[in-house]
Amino acid sequence: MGDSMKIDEDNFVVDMNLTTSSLHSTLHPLAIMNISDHYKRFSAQCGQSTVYGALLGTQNGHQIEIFNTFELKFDNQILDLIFFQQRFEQYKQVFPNYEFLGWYVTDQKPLKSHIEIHKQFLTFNENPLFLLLNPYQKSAKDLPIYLFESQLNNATHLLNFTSISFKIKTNEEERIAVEHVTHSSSSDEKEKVLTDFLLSQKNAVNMLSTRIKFLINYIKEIQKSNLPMDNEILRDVASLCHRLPTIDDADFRKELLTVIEFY
Amino acid sequence: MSSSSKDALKTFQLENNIVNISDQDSIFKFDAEKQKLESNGRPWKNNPKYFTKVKISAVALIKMVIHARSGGNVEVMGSLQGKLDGDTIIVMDTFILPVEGTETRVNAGNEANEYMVEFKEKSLLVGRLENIIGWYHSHPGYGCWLSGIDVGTQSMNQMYLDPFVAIVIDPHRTISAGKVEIGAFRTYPKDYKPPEEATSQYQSIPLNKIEDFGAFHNEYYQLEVSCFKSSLDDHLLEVLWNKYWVNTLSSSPLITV
Ligand SMILES: [Zn+2]
Repeated sequence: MGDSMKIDEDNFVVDMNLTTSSLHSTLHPLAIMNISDHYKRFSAQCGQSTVYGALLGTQNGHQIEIFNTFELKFDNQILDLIFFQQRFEQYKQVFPNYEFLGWYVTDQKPLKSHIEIHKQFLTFNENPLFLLLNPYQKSAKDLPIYLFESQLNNATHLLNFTSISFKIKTNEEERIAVEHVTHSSSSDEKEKVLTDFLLSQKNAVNMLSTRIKFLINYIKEIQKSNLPMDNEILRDVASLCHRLPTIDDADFRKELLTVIEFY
Repeated sequence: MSSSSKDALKTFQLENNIVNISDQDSIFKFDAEKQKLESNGRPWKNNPKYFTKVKISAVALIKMVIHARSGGNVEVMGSLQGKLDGDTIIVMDTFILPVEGTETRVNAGNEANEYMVEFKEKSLLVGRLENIIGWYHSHPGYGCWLSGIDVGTQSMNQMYLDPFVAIVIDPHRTISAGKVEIGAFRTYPKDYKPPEEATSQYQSIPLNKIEDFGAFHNEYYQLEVSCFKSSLDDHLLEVLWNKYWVNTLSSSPLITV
């Protein structure tokens, strides 16, 4: 996980050396967009940059899937319990399968005060997750999102956060909706929307083309016996080829070649 | 400089950065005074086509699409939270209503209305200040338009709850087309005869729905739908998008972060 993560060394809030988690966590884009929306709403409304909320989703054994979130109320770092319970009930009515999985904050790094907040959730989930979204981190490579679980340090008898890995997961309809908003521009000019869309399509096709060329070279090298044959990789390549368009007639070829020239 | 005063300075600078909200992000601020002015004199009462556009936030769109799909072949329904900007209705967020739908209709009963009021009250406590500005429901597989029942529901809404907009999502066509199938509608006042429109809606209606579509399509009009998102959304989506393209060459639907 991210080297850009700043660890609060002084407070030993985050212990990276503990055994790796047995949890397999996945995070849906809706949850990410919800936290982003919560942060933006509060920073636009009152300049407040730290917001807190609950993580909702399913847990089957070690498989945790975070689907959704809702906002929480805190008063001087103390959770508004009544609000939390009432709001959770409202979500439970329309998402009967969802459980309370943990909480989130928008901040630059894990803090000691986060441990104190974390403790307040232990009655609702014996191993709540802690998600941190750093709205100031602008790396184009990594999501500014970090996931932690808490562990009791046997030496110090203090609760520590341990960083755990997670994967992004989407359902098909979620992916389509996310793509829709990704390509929609904040500008009203239709032209700009179209240009942005075509540009990202072009970038995507270029990247795809680069990778396919790479695979072709790889296979050529195998044919020349410069590289050992790996059946698993070849099977993946074969399944990729099966996903390519199956249309192949003169008209299609003509169109395709025109498009390639255009790029 | 001690580390604590450095922290304080940093905090101060960061907080000041936030105060400078960009044009793109100013839409996320709720301005009660402006909303009062927008509603002043209820200008939509004098113009049957006063509202022509709907702007939908990223979270609102994603939530509606996921909800519509979760219903399968059954119609589902929810509320829209939003505000006004001239001829534009801005949808900031949505929430699900606990209603039992069927394959041809969905209606909010008393229980759903109570839920709506209570959900909205709680939203106020966490800074979601917008009012209920409409409703959405799904048409699984038969396109985005208003049925006779929908026209009746929406006319009532515009009579008692205006400003109010109706959004329809087709989850099946969204999946098959690979793009979000969505429509936003408002009904005309009773007895209003709209001028003949040069362009009618281009869409395929299933045979068993054509009568319903044809009998009512003169009683409402469609609003132009667009989406908006914040600068932070842009950044997060860009990272996600880059990762998706890496993912295209692997067969797993999962990506490691
Ligand atoms: Zn309908």
